[in-house]
Amino acid sequence: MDAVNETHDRWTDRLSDYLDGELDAAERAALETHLASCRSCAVLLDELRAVVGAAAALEDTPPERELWPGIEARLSLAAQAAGAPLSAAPEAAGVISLAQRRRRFAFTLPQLAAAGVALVALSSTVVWLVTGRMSAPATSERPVAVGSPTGSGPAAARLDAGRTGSDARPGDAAASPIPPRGQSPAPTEARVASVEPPPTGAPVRSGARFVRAEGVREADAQYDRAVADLQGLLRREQGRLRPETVQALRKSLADIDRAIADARGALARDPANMYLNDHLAESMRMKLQLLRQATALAQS
Amino acid sequence: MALTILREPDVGQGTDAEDARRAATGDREAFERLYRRHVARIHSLARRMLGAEEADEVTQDAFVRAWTKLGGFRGEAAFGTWLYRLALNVILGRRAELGKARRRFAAETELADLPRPGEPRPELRVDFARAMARLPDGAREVLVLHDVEGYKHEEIAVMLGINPGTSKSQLHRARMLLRAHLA
Repeated sequence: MDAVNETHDRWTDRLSDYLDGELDAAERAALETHLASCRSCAVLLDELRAVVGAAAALEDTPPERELWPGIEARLSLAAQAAGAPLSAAPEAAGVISLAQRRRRFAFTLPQLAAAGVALVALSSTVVWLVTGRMSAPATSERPVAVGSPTGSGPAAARLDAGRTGSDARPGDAAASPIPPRGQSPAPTEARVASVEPPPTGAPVRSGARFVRAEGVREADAQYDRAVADLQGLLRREQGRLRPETVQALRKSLADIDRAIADARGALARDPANMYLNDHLAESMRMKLQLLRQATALAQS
Repeated sequence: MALTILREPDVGQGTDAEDARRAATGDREAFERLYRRHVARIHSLARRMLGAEEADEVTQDAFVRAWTKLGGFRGEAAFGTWLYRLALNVILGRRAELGKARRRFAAETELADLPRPGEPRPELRVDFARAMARLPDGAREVLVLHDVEGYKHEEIAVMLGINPGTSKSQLHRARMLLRAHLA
Protein backbone atom coordinates (compact mmCIF):
# COMPACT_ATOMS: atom_id res chain seq x y z
CA MET A 1 0.00 0.00 0.00
CA ASP A 2 1.49 3.34 -0.95
CA ALA A 3 1.68 6.39 1.22
CA VAL A 4 -1.26 8.08 -0.49
CA ASN A 5 -3.57 5.17 0.24
CA GLU A 6 -2.39 4.92 3.80
CA THR A 7 -3.24 8.57 4.33
CA HIS A 8 -6.59 8.07 2.64
CA ASP A 9 -7.49 5.09 4.84
CA ARG A 10 -6.41 6.91 7.94
CA TRP A 11 -8.82 9.72 7.19
CA THR A 12 -11.57 7.40 6.05
CA ASP A 13 -11.61 5.89 9.51
CA ARG A 14 -11.99 9.32 11.07
CA LEU A 15 -14.90 10.53 8.99
CA SER A 16 -17.50 9.53 11.54
CA ASP A 17 -15.55 11.29 14.27
CA TYR A 18 -15.44 14.32 12.05
CA LEU A 19 -19.18 14.24 11.49
CA ASP A 20 -19.81 13.92 15.22
CA GLY A 21 -17.46 16.72 16.16
CA GLU A 22 -15.13 14.35 17.96
CA LEU A 23 -11.89 15.64 16.38
CA ASP A 24 -9.76 18.31 17.92
CA ALA A 25 -9.06 21.48 15.98
CA ALA A 26 -5.78 20.31 14.46
CA GLU A 27 -7.22 17.00 13.28
CA ARG A 28 -10.25 18.72 11.91
CA ALA A 29 -8.18 21.15 9.89
CA ALA A 30 -6.00 18.37 8.53
CA LEU A 31 -9.00 16.31 7.50
CA GLU A 32 -10.65 19.22 5.78
CA THR A 33 -7.44 19.78 3.84
CA HIS A 34 -7.52 16.15 2.78
CA LEU A 35 -11.17 16.33 1.80
CA ALA A 36 -10.49 19.21 -0.50
CA SER A 37 -8.16 17.05 -2.55
CA CYS A 38 -9.77 13.59 -2.19
CA ARG A 39 -13.02 13.12 -4.02
CA SER A 40 -13.64 9.58 -2.75
CA CYS A 41 -13.40 10.72 0.87
CA ALA A 42 -15.71 13.61 0.15
CA VAL A 43 -18.24 11.24 -1.43
CA LEU A 44 -17.92 8.86 1.48
CA LEU A 45 -18.47 11.69 3.91
CA ASP A 46 -21.70 12.60 2.15
CA GLU A 47 -22.86 9.01 2.31
CA LEU A 48 -22.13 8.76 6.01
CA ARG A 49 -23.94 12.03 6.55
CA ALA A 50 -26.93 10.55 4.75
CA VAL A 51 -26.86 7.55 7.07
CA VAL A 52 -26.84 9.79 10.12
CA GLY A 53 -29.73 11.75 8.70
CA ALA A 54 -31.72 8.62 7.91
CA ALA A 55 -31.19 7.22 11.39
CA ALA A 56 -32.30 10.44 13.03
CA ALA A 57 -35.37 10.55 10.81
CA LEU A 58 -36.59 7.08 11.69
CA GLU A 59 -40.13 7.19 12.90
CA ASP A 60 -41.51 5.19 15.75
CA THR A 61 -44.03 2.60 14.75
CA PRO A 62 -46.38 0.58 16.94
CA PRO A 63 -46.06 -3.18 17.21
CA GLU A 64 -47.75 -5.21 14.51
CA ARG A 65 -49.80 -7.15 16.99
CA GLU A 66 -51.80 -5.88 19.91
CA LEU A 67 -49.77 -6.25 23.09
CA TRP A 68 -52.16 -4.76 25.62
CA PRO A 69 -54.21 -7.92 26.29
CA GLY A 70 -51.03 -9.75 27.20
CA ILE A 71 -49.96 -6.98 29.54
CA GLU A 72 -53.36 -6.77 31.15
CA ALA A 73 -53.49 -10.53 31.59
CA ARG A 74 -50.19 -10.47 33.38
CA LEU A 75 -51.37 -7.71 35.66
CA SER A 76 -54.52 -9.67 36.45
CA LEU A 77 -52.68 -12.92 36.91
CA ALA A 78 -50.25 -11.36 39.32
CA ALA A 79 -53.03 -9.59 41.17
CA GLN A 80 -54.89 -12.85 41.59
CA ALA A 81 -51.76 -14.67 42.64
CA ALA A 82 -51.13 -11.97 45.21
CA GLY A 83 -54.68 -12.19 46.42
CA ALA A 84 -55.26 -8.57 45.59
CA PRO A 85 -58.41 -7.28 43.92
CA LEU A 86 -58.04 -6.59 40.21
CA SER A 87 -58.21 -2.89 40.82
CA ALA A 88 -55.56 -2.95 43.47
CA ALA A 89 -52.72 -0.50 43.35
CA PRO A 90 -49.78 -1.83 41.34
CA GLU A 91 -47.52 -2.49 44.29
CA ALA A 92 -50.21 -4.49 46.02
CA ALA A 93 -50.71 -6.55 42.91
CA GLY A 94 -47.17 -7.79 43.11
CA VAL A 95 -46.63 -7.88 39.37
CA ILE A 96 -43.37 -9.29 38.09
CA SER A 97 -41.86 -8.95 34.67
CA LEU A 98 -41.99 -11.76 32.20
CA ALA A 99 -38.27 -12.20 32.39
CA GLN A 100 -38.49 -12.17 36.14
CA ARG A 101 -41.48 -14.42 35.93
CA ARG A 102 -39.53 -16.93 33.92
CA ARG A 103 -36.91 -17.00 36.56
CA ARG A 104 -39.47 -16.87 39.29
CA PHE A 105 -41.53 -19.56 37.65
CA ALA A 106 -38.53 -21.80 37.50
CA PHE A 107 -37.96 -20.92 41.09
CA THR A 108 -41.52 -21.06 42.25
CA LEU A 109 -42.42 -24.44 40.89
CA PRO A 110 -39.83 -26.21 42.96
CA GLN A 111 -41.27 -24.30 45.85
CA LEU A 112 -44.65 -25.57 44.90
CA ALA A 113 -43.18 -29.01 44.56
CA ALA A 114 -41.86 -28.62 48.05
CA ALA A 115 -45.28 -27.47 49.10
CA GLY A 116 -46.69 -30.57 47.49
CA VAL A 117 -44.26 -32.68 49.42
CA ALA A 118 -45.28 -30.82 52.52
CA LEU A 119 -48.87 -31.58 51.74
CA VAL A 120 -48.04 -35.23 51.36
CA ALA A 121 -46.18 -35.18 54.62
CA LEU A 122 -49.00 -33.34 56.29
CA SER A 123 -51.48 -35.72 54.80
CA SER A 124 -49.54 -38.72 55.99
CA THR A 125 -49.24 -37.21 59.40
CA VAL A 126 -52.92 -36.48 59.62
CA VAL A 127 -53.79 -39.91 58.36
CA TRP A 128 -51.55 -41.44 60.95
CA LEU A 129 -53.09 -39.33 63.66
CA VAL A 130 -56.58 -40.01 62.52
CA THR A 131 -56.27 -43.67 61.85
CA GLY A 132 -54.28 -44.18 64.97
CA ARG A 133 -56.70 -42.42 67.27
CA MET A 134 -60.07 -42.82 65.70
CA SER A 135 -62.09 -45.57 64.28
CA ALA A 136 -63.73 -44.69 61.00
CA PRO A 137 -67.51 -44.65 61.03
CA ALA A 138 -69.00 -46.97 58.54
CA THR A 139 -70.69 -45.18 55.68
CA SER A 140 -71.08 -45.58 52.01
CA GLU A 141 -71.49 -41.90 51.42
CA ARG A 142 -68.45 -40.13 50.22
CA PRO A 143 -67.74 -36.72 51.67
CA VAL A 144 -66.01 -34.11 49.64
CA ALA A 145 -64.37 -30.78 50.01
CA VAL A 146 -64.46 -28.72 46.87
CA GLY A 147 -62.16 -25.77 46.67
CA SER A 148 -62.80 -22.57 44.83
CA PRO A 149 -60.79 -22.53 41.62
CA THR A 150 -59.52 -19.09 42.26
CA GLY A 151 -58.68 -19.73 45.82
CA SER A 152 -59.96 -16.38 46.87
CA GLY A 153 -60.19 -17.51 50.41
CA PRO A 154 -58.88 -20.35 52.45
CA ALA A 155 -60.70 -23.45 51.38
CA ALA A 156 -63.35 -21.19 50.00
CA ALA A 157 -65.82 -23.96 49.43
CA ARG A 158 -65.06 -26.44 52.10
CA LEU A 159 -67.51 -28.92 53.37
CA ASP A 160 -70.24 -27.17 55.23
CA ALA A 161 -69.77 -28.99 58.43
CA GLY A 162 -72.50 -28.54 60.96
CA ARG A 163 -74.80 -26.54 58.69
CA THR A 164 -78.25 -27.54 57.83
CA GLY A 165 -79.72 -27.39 54.38
CA SER A 166 -81.32 -24.05 55.05
CA ASP A 167 -78.15 -22.28 56.10
CA ALA A 168 -75.82 -23.84 53.61
CA ARG A 169 -74.44 -20.47 52.47
CA PRO A 170 -76.03 -19.93 49.10
CA GLY A 171 -74.31 -16.58 48.97
CA ASP A 172 -70.83 -18.03 49.14
CA ALA A 173 -70.61 -18.68 45.45
CA ALA A 174 -72.01 -15.26 44.62
CA ALA A 175 -69.48 -13.59 46.86
CA SER A 176 -66.67 -15.29 45.03
CA PRO A 177 -64.75 -13.28 42.42
CA ILE A 178 -65.39 -16.09 39.97
CA PRO A 179 -67.68 -14.89 37.20
CA PRO A 180 -71.07 -16.54 37.01
CA ARG A 181 -71.25 -19.63 34.94
CA GLY A 182 -71.44 -19.02 31.25
CA GLN A 183 -70.25 -15.45 31.41
CA SER A 184 -66.59 -16.12 31.12
CA PRO A 185 -65.12 -15.65 27.63
CA ALA A 186 -63.06 -18.79 27.44
CA PRO A 187 -64.74 -22.18 27.54
CA THR A 188 -62.14 -23.54 29.86
CA GLU A 189 -62.45 -20.53 32.07
CA ALA A 190 -66.19 -20.97 32.11
CA ARG A 191 -65.80 -24.60 33.00
CA VAL A 192 -63.35 -23.87 35.76
CA ALA A 193 -65.41 -20.99 37.00
CA SER A 194 -68.39 -23.26 37.25
CA VAL A 195 -66.75 -25.38 39.85
CA GLU A 196 -68.53 -24.56 43.04
CA PRO A 197 -69.60 -26.16 46.23
CA PRO A 198 -72.28 -28.80 46.19
CA PRO A 199 -75.76 -27.46 45.47
CA THR A 200 -76.88 -25.24 48.25
CA GLY A 201 -80.18 -27.03 48.52
CA ALA A 202 -78.54 -30.36 48.97
CA PRO A 203 -79.58 -31.99 52.17
CA VAL A 204 -76.87 -32.02 54.70
CA ARG A 205 -76.81 -34.50 57.46
CA SER A 206 -75.84 -32.04 60.12
CA GLY A 207 -74.73 -34.53 62.65
CA ALA A 208 -72.56 -36.42 60.25
CA ARG A 209 -70.90 -33.33 58.72
CA PHE A 210 -71.09 -34.45 55.16
CA VAL A 211 -73.39 -33.84 52.29
CA ARG A 212 -75.44 -36.32 50.40
CA ALA A 213 -73.58 -38.40 47.88
CA GLU A 214 -75.56 -37.08 44.94
CA GLY A 215 -74.49 -33.48 45.45
CA VAL A 216 -70.99 -34.60 46.20
CA ARG A 217 -70.73 -36.56 43.00
CA GLU A 218 -71.90 -33.57 40.97
CA ALA A 219 -69.37 -31.25 42.61
CA ASP A 220 -66.67 -33.84 42.13
CA ALA A 221 -67.57 -34.17 38.49
CA GLN A 222 -67.40 -30.41 37.96
CA TYR A 223 -64.02 -30.27 39.59
CA ASP A 224 -62.75 -33.19 37.56
CA ARG A 225 -63.98 -31.61 34.33
CA ALA A 226 -62.26 -28.34 35.17
CA VAL A 227 -59.01 -30.11 35.93
CA ALA A 228 -59.28 -32.18 32.77
CA ASP A 229 -59.90 -29.08 30.68
CA LEU A 230 -56.91 -27.31 32.12
CA GLN A 231 -54.69 -30.35 31.78
CA GLY A 232 -55.73 -30.74 28.16
CA LEU A 233 -55.05 -27.11 27.52
CA LEU A 234 -51.69 -27.38 29.21
CA ARG A 235 -50.75 -30.42 27.17
CA ARG A 236 -51.44 -28.47 23.99
CA GLU A 237 -49.58 -25.38 25.13
CA GLN A 238 -46.75 -26.83 27.15
CA GLY A 239 -44.39 -26.56 24.21
CA ARG A 240 -44.24 -22.87 24.95
CA LEU A 241 -42.81 -23.48 28.39
CA ARG A 242 -39.23 -24.38 29.05
CA PRO A 243 -38.57 -28.10 29.46
CA GLU A 244 -37.32 -27.68 33.00
CA THR A 245 -40.47 -25.74 33.82
CA VAL A 246 -42.64 -28.51 32.42
CA GLN A 247 -40.67 -31.05 34.40
CA ALA A 248 -41.04 -29.08 37.62
CA LEU A 249 -44.71 -28.59 36.89
CA ARG A 250 -45.25 -32.31 36.43
CA LYS A 251 -43.48 -33.08 39.67
CA SER A 252 -45.54 -30.52 41.55
CA LEU A 253 -48.76 -31.86 40.14
CA ALA A 254 -47.72 -35.40 40.99
CA ASP A 255 -46.98 -34.33 44.56
CA ILE A 256 -50.31 -32.58 44.86
CA ASP A 257 -52.11 -35.58 43.38
CA ARG A 258 -50.50 -37.79 45.96
CA ALA A 259 -51.64 -35.41 48.69
CA ILE A 260 -55.17 -35.49 47.31
CA ALA A 261 -55.14 -39.25 47.10
CA ASP A 262 -53.85 -39.54 50.64
CA ALA A 263 -56.51 -37.20 51.92
CA ARG A 264 -59.26 -39.02 50.09
CA GLY A 265 -58.01 -42.33 51.37
CA ALA A 266 -58.03 -41.04 54.90
CA LEU A 267 -61.47 -39.50 54.45
CA ALA A 268 -62.82 -42.83 53.31
CA ARG A 269 -61.95 -44.08 56.75
CA ASP A 270 -62.97 -40.95 58.61
CA PRO A 271 -65.52 -39.02 56.53
CA ALA A 272 -66.39 -36.54 59.24
CA ASN A 273 -62.88 -35.38 59.96
CA MET A 274 -62.70 -31.62 59.49
CA TYR A 275 -58.94 -31.52 59.24
CA LEU A 276 -58.97 -33.95 56.39
CA ASN A 277 -61.74 -32.08 54.64
CA ASP A 278 -59.84 -28.84 54.86
CA HIS A 279 -56.65 -30.50 53.77
CA LEU A 280 -58.32 -32.07 50.77
CA ALA A 281 -59.99 -28.80 49.83
CA GLU A 282 -56.69 -26.97 50.03
CA SER A 283 -54.92 -29.61 47.95
CA MET A 284 -57.59 -29.51 45.27
CA ARG A 285 -57.60 -25.75 45.24
CA MET A 286 -53.84 -25.77 44.94
CA LYS A 287 -53.96 -28.08 41.96
CA LEU A 288 -56.47 -25.92 40.16
CA GLN A 289 -54.53 -22.79 40.90
CA LEU A 290 -51.29 -24.30 39.68
CA LEU A 291 -52.92 -25.51 36.48
CA ARG A 292 -54.52 -22.16 35.86
CA GLN A 293 -51.25 -20.33 36.40
CA ALA A 294 -49.36 -22.70 34.15
CA THR A 295 -51.85 -22.49 31.32
CA ALA A 296 -52.02 -18.73 31.62
CA LEU A 297 -48.26 -18.57 31.42
CA ALA A 298 -48.13 -20.87 28.44
CA GLN A 299 -50.74 -18.80 26.64
CA SER A 300 -49.35 -15.40 27.46
CA MET B 1 -25.46 7.13 35.75
CA ALA B 2 -27.12 10.29 34.57
CA LEU B 3 -28.46 9.72 31.12
CA THR B 4 -29.20 12.55 28.80
CA ILE B 5 -32.42 11.95 26.99
CA LEU B 6 -32.36 13.95 23.82
CA ARG B 7 -35.45 12.55 22.19
CA GLU B 8 -38.52 13.17 24.21
CA PRO B 9 -41.71 11.32 23.42
CA ASP B 10 -43.95 13.65 21.54
CA VAL B 11 -47.29 12.17 22.37
CA GLY B 12 -49.85 13.20 24.87
CA GLN B 13 -47.66 14.61 27.58
CA GLY B 14 -50.43 16.92 28.60
CA THR B 15 -52.49 14.09 30.01
CA ASP B 16 -49.72 11.74 31.03
CA ALA B 17 -49.29 13.12 34.52
CA GLU B 18 -52.96 12.71 35.38
CA ASP B 19 -53.15 9.24 33.90
CA ALA B 20 -49.96 8.23 35.71
CA ARG B 21 -51.46 9.43 38.96
CA ARG B 22 -54.64 7.48 38.33
CA ALA B 23 -52.74 4.39 37.22
CA ALA B 24 -50.69 4.46 40.39
CA THR B 25 -53.92 3.94 42.34
CA GLY B 26 -54.78 0.90 40.27
CA ASP B 27 -56.72 2.48 37.41
CA ARG B 28 -56.16 0.08 34.55
CA GLU B 29 -57.91 2.26 32.00
CA ALA B 30 -55.59 5.13 32.77
CA PHE B 31 -52.62 2.81 32.42
CA GLU B 32 -53.92 1.56 29.11
CA ARG B 33 -54.12 5.13 27.86
CA LEU B 34 -50.50 5.60 28.83
CA TYR B 35 -49.66 2.40 27.03
CA ARG B 36 -51.44 3.55 23.87
CA ARG B 37 -49.62 6.84 23.85
CA HIS B 38 -46.15 5.41 24.38
CA VAL B 39 -46.09 1.91 23.00
CA ALA B 40 -44.77 2.92 19.60
CA ARG B 41 -41.81 4.68 21.17
CA ILE B 42 -40.94 1.83 23.49
CA HIS B 43 -41.53 -0.90 20.96
CA SER B 44 -39.43 0.87 18.35
CA LEU B 45 -36.57 1.19 20.80
CA ALA B 46 -36.84 -2.47 21.75
CA ARG B 47 -37.10 -3.56 18.12
CA ARG B 48 -34.06 -1.58 17.06
CA MET B 49 -31.95 -2.66 19.97
CA LEU B 50 -32.89 -6.32 20.22
CA GLY B 51 -34.63 -7.19 16.99
CA ALA B 52 -38.23 -7.89 16.11
CA GLU B 53 -38.24 -11.31 17.74
CA GLU B 54 -37.67 -9.91 21.19
CA ALA B 55 -39.44 -6.59 20.84
CA ASP B 56 -42.99 -7.64 21.70
CA GLU B 57 -42.05 -9.49 24.83
CA VAL B 58 -39.64 -6.86 26.06
CA THR B 59 -42.19 -4.14 25.44
CA GLN B 60 -44.71 -6.04 27.55
CA ASP B 61 -42.09 -6.52 30.21
CA ALA B 62 -41.37 -2.81 30.22
CA PHE B 63 -45.00 -1.83 30.67
CA VAL B 64 -45.58 -4.44 33.34
CA ARG B 65 -42.48 -3.16 35.12
CA ALA B 66 -43.77 0.39 34.75
CA TRP B 67 -47.04 -0.63 36.38
CA THR B 68 -45.21 -1.89 39.42
CA LYS B 69 -43.03 1.18 39.63
CA LEU B 70 -45.70 3.81 39.15
CA GLY B 71 -45.69 4.59 42.83
CA GLY B 72 -42.15 5.84 42.41
CA PHE B 73 -43.03 8.23 39.61
CA ARG B 74 -43.04 11.65 41.18
CA GLY B 75 -43.67 13.69 38.09
CA GLU B 76 -40.29 15.36 38.30
CA ALA B 77 -39.61 14.33 34.72
CA ALA B 78 -42.11 13.83 31.94
CA PHE B 79 -43.81 10.47 32.21
CA GLY B 80 -42.48 9.58 28.76
CA THR B 81 -38.93 10.19 29.90
CA TRP B 82 -39.44 8.17 33.04
CA LEU B 83 -40.97 5.33 31.05
CA TYR B 84 -38.24 5.51 28.43
CA ARG B 85 -35.51 5.17 31.03
CA LEU B 86 -37.27 2.29 32.66
CA ALA B 87 -37.77 0.58 29.30
CA LEU B 88 -34.17 1.11 28.33
CA ASN B 89 -33.09 -0.61 31.53
CA VAL B 90 -35.38 -3.52 30.74
CA ILE B 91 -33.93 -3.68 27.22
CA LEU B 92 -30.36 -3.57 28.44
CA GLY B 93 -31.17 -6.26 30.96
CA ARG B 94 -32.55 -8.47 28.24
CA ARG B 95 -29.56 -7.69 26.07
CA ALA B 96 -27.31 -8.94 28.84
CA GLU B 97 -29.35 -12.13 29.10
CA LEU B 98 -29.14 -12.68 25.39
CA GLY B 99 -25.50 -11.76 25.16
CA LYS B 100 -23.96 -15.11 25.79
CA ALA B 101 -26.18 -16.89 23.32
CA ARG B 102 -25.80 -14.28 20.68
CA ARG B 103 -22.06 -14.12 20.90
CA ARG B 104 -21.94 -17.71 19.84
CA PHE B 105 -23.09 -16.68 16.44
CA ALA B 106 -20.27 -14.67 15.03
CA ALA B 107 -21.49 -11.39 13.75
CA GLU B 108 -19.10 -11.58 10.87
CA THR B 109 -21.32 -14.03 9.07
CA GLU B 110 -23.96 -11.37 8.91
CA LEU B 111 -21.58 -9.03 7.21
CA ALA B 112 -21.54 -11.27 4.19
CA ASP B 113 -25.10 -10.29 3.45
CA LEU B 114 -24.37 -6.60 3.48
CA PRO B 115 -23.07 -4.79 0.41
CA ARG B 116 -19.47 -3.73 0.23
CA PRO B 117 -18.35 -0.32 -0.86
CA GLY B 118 -18.26 -0.23 -4.61
CA GLU B 119 -20.59 -3.18 -4.93
CA PRO B 120 -24.03 -1.70 -5.27
CA ARG B 121 -26.71 -4.30 -4.81
CA PRO B 122 -30.01 -2.68 -5.64
CA GLU B 123 -31.98 -5.63 -4.34
CA LEU B 124 -30.63 -4.85 -0.89
CA ARG B 125 -31.72 -1.25 -0.94
CA VAL B 126 -34.57 -2.11 1.24
CA ASP B 127 -35.84 0.35 3.71
CA PHE B 128 -33.34 1.72 6.10
CA ALA B 129 -34.87 0.21 9.20
CA ARG B 130 -34.68 -3.29 7.84
CA ALA B 131 -31.09 -2.77 6.77
CA MET B 132 -30.30 -1.53 10.24
CA ALA B 133 -31.85 -4.62 11.74
CA ARG B 134 -29.41 -6.76 9.81
CA LEU B 135 -26.33 -5.11 11.26
CA PRO B 136 -24.18 -7.08 13.67
CA ASP B 137 -25.46 -6.66 17.21
CA GLY B 138 -22.67 -4.46 18.53
CA ALA B 139 -22.70 -2.09 15.58
CA ARG B 140 -26.49 -1.86 15.55
CA GLU B 141 -26.77 -1.17 19.26
CA VAL B 142 -24.28 1.67 19.13
CA LEU B 143 -25.87 3.13 16.02
CA VAL B 144 -29.31 3.05 17.62
CA LEU B 145 -28.15 4.62 20.84
CA HIS B 146 -26.00 7.26 19.15
CA ASP B 147 -27.67 8.19 15.89
CA VAL B 148 -31.28 7.38 16.72
CA GLU B 149 -31.50 8.00 20.45
CA GLY B 150 -28.85 10.70 20.73
CA TYR B 151 -26.61 9.32 23.45
CA LYS B 152 -22.93 10.19 23.71
CA HIS B 153 -20.19 7.62 23.38
CA GLU B 154 -19.35 7.90 27.05
CA GLU B 155 -22.93 7.12 27.99
CA ILE B 156 -23.14 4.28 25.51
CA ALA B 157 -19.93 2.82 26.85
CA VAL B 158 -21.45 2.63 30.33
CA MET B 159 -24.72 1.18 29.10
CA LEU B 160 -23.17 -1.50 26.95
CA GLY B 161 -20.13 -2.25 29.07
CA ILE B 162 -17.60 -1.26 26.43
CA ASN B 163 -15.08 1.54 26.22
CA PRO B 164 -15.80 4.77 24.36
CA GLY B 165 -13.24 3.94 21.69
CA THR B 166 -15.08 0.73 20.89
CA SER B 167 -18.31 2.64 20.74
CA LYS B 168 -16.82 5.01 18.17
CA SER B 169 -15.40 2.26 16.01
CA GLN B 170 -18.65 0.30 16.11
CA LEU B 171 -20.57 3.39 15.10
CA HIS B 172 -18.32 4.01 12.15
CA ARG B 173 -18.56 0.39 11.16
CA ALA B 174 -22.36 0.52 11.26
CA ARG B 175 -22.49 3.66 9.16
CA MET B 176 -20.09 2.23 6.60
CA LEU B 177 -22.21 -0.87 6.27
CA LEU B 178 -25.43 1.07 5.97
CA ARG B 179 -24.33 3.71 3.51
CA ALA B 180 -24.68 1.32 0.60
CA HIS B 181 -28.40 1.08 1.35
CA LEU B 182 -28.77 4.73 0.68
CA ALA B 183 -26.60 4.86 -2.44
